[in-house]
Amino acid sequence: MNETLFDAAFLAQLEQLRLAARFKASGQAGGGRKSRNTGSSVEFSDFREYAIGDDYRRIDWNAYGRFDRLFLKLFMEEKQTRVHLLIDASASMDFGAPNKLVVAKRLAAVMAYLALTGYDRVAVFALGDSVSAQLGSFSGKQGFMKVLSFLETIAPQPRTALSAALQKVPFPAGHGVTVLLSDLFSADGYVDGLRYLRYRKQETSVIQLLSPAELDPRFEGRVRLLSREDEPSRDVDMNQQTLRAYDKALQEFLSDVRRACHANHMQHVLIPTDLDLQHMVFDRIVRAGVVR
Amino acid sequence: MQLFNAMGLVAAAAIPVVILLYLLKQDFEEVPVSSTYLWQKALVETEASRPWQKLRNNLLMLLQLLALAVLAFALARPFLTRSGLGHENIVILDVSLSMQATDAEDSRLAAAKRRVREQIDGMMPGDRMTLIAAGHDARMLLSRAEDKSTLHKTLEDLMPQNGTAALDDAIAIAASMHREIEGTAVIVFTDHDRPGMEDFQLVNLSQNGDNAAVWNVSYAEDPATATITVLARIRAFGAARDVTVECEADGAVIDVRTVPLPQDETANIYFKDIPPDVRRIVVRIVEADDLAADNAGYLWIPPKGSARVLLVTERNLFLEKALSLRSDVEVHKSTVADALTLRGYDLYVFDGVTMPEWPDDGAIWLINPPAMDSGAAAFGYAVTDSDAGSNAAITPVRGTLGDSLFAYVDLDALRVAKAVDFDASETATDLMPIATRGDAPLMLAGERATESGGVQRVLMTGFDFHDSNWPVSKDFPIFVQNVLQWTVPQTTDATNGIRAGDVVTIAARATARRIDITPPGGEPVNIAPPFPIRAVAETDALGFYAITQTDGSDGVWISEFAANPPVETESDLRSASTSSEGAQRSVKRNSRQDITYILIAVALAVMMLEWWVYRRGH
Repeated sequence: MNETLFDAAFLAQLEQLRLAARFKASGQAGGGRKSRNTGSSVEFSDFREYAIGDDYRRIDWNAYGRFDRLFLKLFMEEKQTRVHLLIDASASMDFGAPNKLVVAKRLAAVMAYLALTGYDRVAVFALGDSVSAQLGSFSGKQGFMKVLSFLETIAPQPRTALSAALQKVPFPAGHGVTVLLSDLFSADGYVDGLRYLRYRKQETSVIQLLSPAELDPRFEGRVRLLSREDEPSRDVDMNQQTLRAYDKALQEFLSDVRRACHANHMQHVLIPTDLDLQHMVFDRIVRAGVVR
Repeated sequence: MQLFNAMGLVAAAAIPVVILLYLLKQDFEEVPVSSTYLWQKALVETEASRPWQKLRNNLLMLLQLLALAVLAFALARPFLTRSGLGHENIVILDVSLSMQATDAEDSRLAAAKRRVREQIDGMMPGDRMTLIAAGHDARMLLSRAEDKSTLHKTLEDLMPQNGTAALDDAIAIAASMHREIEGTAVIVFTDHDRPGMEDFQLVNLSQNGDNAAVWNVSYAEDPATATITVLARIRAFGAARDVTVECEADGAVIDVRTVPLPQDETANIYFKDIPPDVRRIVVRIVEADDLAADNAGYLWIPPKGSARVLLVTERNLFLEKALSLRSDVEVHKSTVADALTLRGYDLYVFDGVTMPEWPDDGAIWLINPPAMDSGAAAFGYAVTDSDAGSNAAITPVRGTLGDSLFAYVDLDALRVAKAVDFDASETATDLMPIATRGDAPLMLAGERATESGGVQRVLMTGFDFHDSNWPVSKDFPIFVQNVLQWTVPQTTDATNGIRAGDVVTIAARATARRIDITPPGGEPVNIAPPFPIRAVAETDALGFYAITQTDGSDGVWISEFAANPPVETESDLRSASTSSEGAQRSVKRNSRQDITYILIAVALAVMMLEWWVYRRGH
């Protein structure tokens, strides 16, 4: 990958997206998100009578003066969402024009920016056959540059075992938001990994990245398919029948993915990597409800 | 089904090569993909129909192999046959002098050969060809031959000749075969006009070439200067031109002339003051034309020697005068008594006398021999005075020596009052009647072997010239000269009337023991013994032939003759007629269907199908 991941134009786009999109998630730490839970924030919510053991600093003395009874002031609880960005850095992602891994990194940067500017916590993980790299959880806009730097260091991994890698991601206890950026081409499949994410109470959005050459291959004649993954090559006599069979396999695969995501209450977004970033985010990602 | 060219099947050897190439074919284009995950799923499904898929993948190879097999079979030129006769061809090739003309390709004969080669190459199995060469005589070179290589070899070896073409004989042979063998086609390659060829195909190779020829060369002696003057007649067969003519005497060019030659006209050129001892004269046209062989004329001048004739007669002035007409003949008269011992003469003429012993060192002419048993019996005949056949017409016997002895002689005018009779005795004789009066032989002639081993020419005339009207007729001296020509070799001037290919009869000397003939530029060929000497037919080469006669001791006699091209029939290269197909009768031909083109069409269709399958798959 020789492309410049994050140039000035890209960052300007990010700013526009921030104004327009927010992560929708629930969390526990104080973040820029309204939570249904009440907590110690500055925004008044309601009163309740004092009970032995409550924090006396929260007693509303004005209410005592009026009602000669002790009441606690309740506030809207603002919680931080833990956003986990999982980037499939397997060899199959290092393919295509534009390169899928590059696109994944850019989308990850977008997600990270949206999360950080929304006062969420962000953690970034690179996956191969396990977690090959990670950037620890942090919040604040100042952490965005760390994210960018980290994303640039992510290199393609020779082997893919997506389910195994997902199961090795050190999710913190509790709920979180996970965005998986992958092509889902894995020898060990992806279903077990998705189930694990659900098990770990992650609100997951699966952004599946596929290149135009994968969505609509235009091969002719006798070809030898050389896989980026650690897979044996295949000699194929490309003809209409073979291409139709591939298309059918592709549709079945996508259908399986959608079905697995739905079964695990996950969002699924198929993004061709030849779309521009604006379309990716607004036509696909926003529409799918990953952000709003 | 048969194959015209079985060797074409060798092309089928390419079939395993194609299979091998197909198997070794490794022209995969390497294409990087992210993962073969989906491709594996896709190929699993396609491999479900793998038998058909394999078959379809191999279908292209099978179609290619099929096209190759069909083409190989087509190269073998198969044909379907039904039982029947093979196709018979009779080819007559004119190999006369005019076929050497260069107005058609290298020569007319070369053009004819090329066409015959095409005929041979086009022969189907079972076809037969007869080759007949029409030269001095009609020669059947090959009869109903099927083997192409033999036909080609024979054709290649066929050389042109310098004589005329015996086309009539060749066509007669072909006509005979045409009648006997059903389905025979006759093709005649010639450059001569041949009317009446309705049944045969005539290929006229004449391209109306331009030619000039030495028409004739003759000489005369000038007694005043004792020199020789040569007359050369040059004739044009075509446009007018100037011709340069050189005269060569005994190998040295003595004169060169340039004369105008009008169109289709003859020009006479005199070369004078040639020394009398010159023997060989060659007149040659310098400019090249379409026929070079007739650009030279050859003339042999015999030495002016004396022929000795002994005349034994009581009195015969007519005969004596007639014998003395030739300036090179010395006539000696003798009595019977003296003739008994006289020898060394070229011709002994016994007029009305007989001898107990006949000389054998020269020719003998018996005129009016007296009745005898023993004398003429030496020649196989008894002589009587019965005068049988009197008042009957005198006729020559054709096909005998009488043809030359009575040349230019009208026997119808001869009247004989009285003649002797020749009765063939029991003794074997070489003398045959050359003229008869009624049924009785009047004159006899022939050659007999002498006791000394030589050959002696004998003429017997059965009447006294005084008992006839011959001496006062013009025929008598002509007849005497004819006799001299036949009996005395030195005096003959028939040495210059010979055309290439003519059969030449050599006048052997009575004492000759061995006779050799040396053709122009060749080696001596022995023609005698055995005696009687055979006629010499090997006279195709143009130029001078030397005849050497030896008597076994020191006696050697050399004479020559010249063979000239038959300009009268061969030098005019123009032809009025063109080739004709002839009314080729419908002949029963072999039912043969050449399916080569059908196979080629099938191969093309297979290749189109292969292209369609290939495109369809992609």
